Amino acid sequence: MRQVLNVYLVKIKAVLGAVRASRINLLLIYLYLFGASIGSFGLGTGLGQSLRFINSVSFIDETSALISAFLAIAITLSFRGFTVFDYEESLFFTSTITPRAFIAATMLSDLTVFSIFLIPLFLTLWVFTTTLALPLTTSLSLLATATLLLASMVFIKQSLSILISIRKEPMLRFTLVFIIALLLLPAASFIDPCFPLRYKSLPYPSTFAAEVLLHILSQEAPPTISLLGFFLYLAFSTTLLIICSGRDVFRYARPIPFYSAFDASMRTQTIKMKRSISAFSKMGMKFTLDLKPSPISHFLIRKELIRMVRDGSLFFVTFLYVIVLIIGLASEKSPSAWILILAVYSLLIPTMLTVNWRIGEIDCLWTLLTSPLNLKIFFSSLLYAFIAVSTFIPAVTILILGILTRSNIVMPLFLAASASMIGSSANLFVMIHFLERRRRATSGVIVAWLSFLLSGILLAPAYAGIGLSLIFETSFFTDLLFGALILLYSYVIFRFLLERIEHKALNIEI
Amino acid sequence: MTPILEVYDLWKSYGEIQALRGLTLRVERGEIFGLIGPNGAGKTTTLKIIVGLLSMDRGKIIVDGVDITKQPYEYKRLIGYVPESISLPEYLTLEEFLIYSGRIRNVPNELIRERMNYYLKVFELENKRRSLILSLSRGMRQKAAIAAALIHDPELLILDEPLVGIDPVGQHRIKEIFSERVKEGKTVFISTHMLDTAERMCSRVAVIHWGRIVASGDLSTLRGIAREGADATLEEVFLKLTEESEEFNPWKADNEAGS
Repeated sequence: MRQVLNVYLVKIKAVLGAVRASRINLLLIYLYLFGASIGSFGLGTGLGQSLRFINSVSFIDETSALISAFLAIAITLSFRGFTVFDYEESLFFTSTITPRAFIAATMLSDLTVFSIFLIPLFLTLWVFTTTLALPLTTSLSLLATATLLLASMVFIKQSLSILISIRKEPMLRFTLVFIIALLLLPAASFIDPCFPLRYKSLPYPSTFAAEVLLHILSQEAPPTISLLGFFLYLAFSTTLLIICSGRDVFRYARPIPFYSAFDASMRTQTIKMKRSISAFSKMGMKFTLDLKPSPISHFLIRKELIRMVRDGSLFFVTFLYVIVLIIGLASEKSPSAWILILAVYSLLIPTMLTVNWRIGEIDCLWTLLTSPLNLKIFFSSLLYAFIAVSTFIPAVTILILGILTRSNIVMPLFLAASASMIGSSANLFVMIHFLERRRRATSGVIVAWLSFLLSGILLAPAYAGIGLSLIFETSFFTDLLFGALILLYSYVIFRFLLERIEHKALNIEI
Repeated sequence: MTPILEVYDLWKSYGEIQALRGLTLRVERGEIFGLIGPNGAGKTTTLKIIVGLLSMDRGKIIVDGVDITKQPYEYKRLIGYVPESISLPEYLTLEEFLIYSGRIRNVPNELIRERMNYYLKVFELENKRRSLILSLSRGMRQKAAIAAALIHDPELLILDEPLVGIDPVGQHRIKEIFSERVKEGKTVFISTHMLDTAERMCSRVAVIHWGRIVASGDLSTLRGIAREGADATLEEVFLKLTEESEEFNPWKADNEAGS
């Protein structure tokens, strides 16, 4: 027990350390709790009210489907195998701590951490029971059943992770996929009422649990068969965990190089970037840097484009615009949906490109800073590469949408170009600003948010232009005039920021 | 002949920590000069200021007669630098990285090709030419960084712990390259913890402690300063000099003032 407690405390401290490392993390958690708590009241009240109008068959079907879905997620998560954080491997696995003690501490710490995120869920349950004016014993029984259900899913996930790590046979994975399919199959009855399989008629653990929950809510004794089925499932998940945790799992563990799930340090980002490079570089090897004669600025632009291909940046930008394309095609009659998404993406893409540059390149800047290359040439080339990507892909998407939906694409095209110029230069400016000596410790998330904010403010005239064009349905020539003015404005901002970037780059310290 | 590097009264602080306290040193052309000192003495800070990765609070640095604050780009044509912890663009192949290093230093393409082939052969990295840097071992990256620092044939090669992580054959090759460069009249300036290597390789060394140079010269000069015998090793001299210079320890002074 002492071992479990010691490991538990270290793990909790590691999580708290990662959370406290960034104020943004704390802020996001507070925001989540605040927002989710408000939502919980609405959800709890709504669920309570709707239950009055729902029949028992629907309740069992829907609740069972929900529980089955969570169980399927738990099984899917176990496919990653038994994973541990880097420090855990070196700290605990070389000590006298037993696998069972380690696993128990891991589950306890996971439950502690997740209980923060489950506060809104329990709040929903409380509001729900209050709305239905249930007696205290009933509410407590509901809470106990929900907790047991949750614990069983954690047990299943942990046990299967261990099994997956120990037993490499594909048969196990196939079996689990088959179980996931079985769990989800009856959900087809929600789409097609004639589908023969329904949760209500199947002996699934989720069905037993749903029946128990329904009877608790109705303040009746659950049928023996449901109770027995539910407890058999709980006993099975617990026994499975006891058996699996008895194995020498340390030798099968797969370390992940983070300190906790909240670890958003530069080190973690760099590791993720390396993974991304190993995944995308094969595709990017078709384009190479060679010794063909070309001006240095062209060479540098090519190098940056190669980086964006090989680190996956280009793939993600394209992927995001494929979504715009799908939404645009779905909302054929009204172009406002895709123009709205375009407006958001146009801010997001330069931020994403700059953040990726920061993660991948900041530690390599010494090669550049110790060279005689004028930094203005480098940063203007970098900006041109950003602009090329964040203009070309949106422009192609807009052109396709314009042709297929017969929409007026003049202003969206100008918006894409303007956002690309302003967004790229504003993001890079903020990034370089925070590379100066006294500001280097600033969290990357804050830097990204500030970049996003500055781009948004500077882009306001472009947004106003496109808004006016949509509202007043201006003519093609008016759009062209507006667009040209927006482009001119964007160019002036771009030149101004480029000058500032070069000036600031001289103060970079690494 | 003017020295290749002159550093005068260099000061640098990180917040309340005073890393350099009026450091002065002079590196002559055609020598292998070593900067040795304990951890936290200010070696890396000194090197980073010289190559332009850190700014100085006060002082003057002249490279080949050029004041680096007045011409922040020009003097970098003369230097090649290899840092202690090496980060290279993981997404480039080794060949691409060397091409990139040559192009940003304005080396003609033909010379890039020639020198790249030469150093890849010397460092036995020819078969890794088209491998991503991501896949290279630490020692290979170190060799790649040294090759990149040499691609423009600099007058002054500055290296921070150049031999750490490199296999014995690689270390031997690097030492050979250093010797060849010195024969050509070029200069090598290294910072190291490896005193035996420094003793064998460097014509002169400077001992840095608590952010200032406590002694500088060839081994016999250092023995004289440390009042050690003619058979004293650099390690013995170093230990004596650093022990004597404890009077400069700001923490010790603070503690004494506190007690």
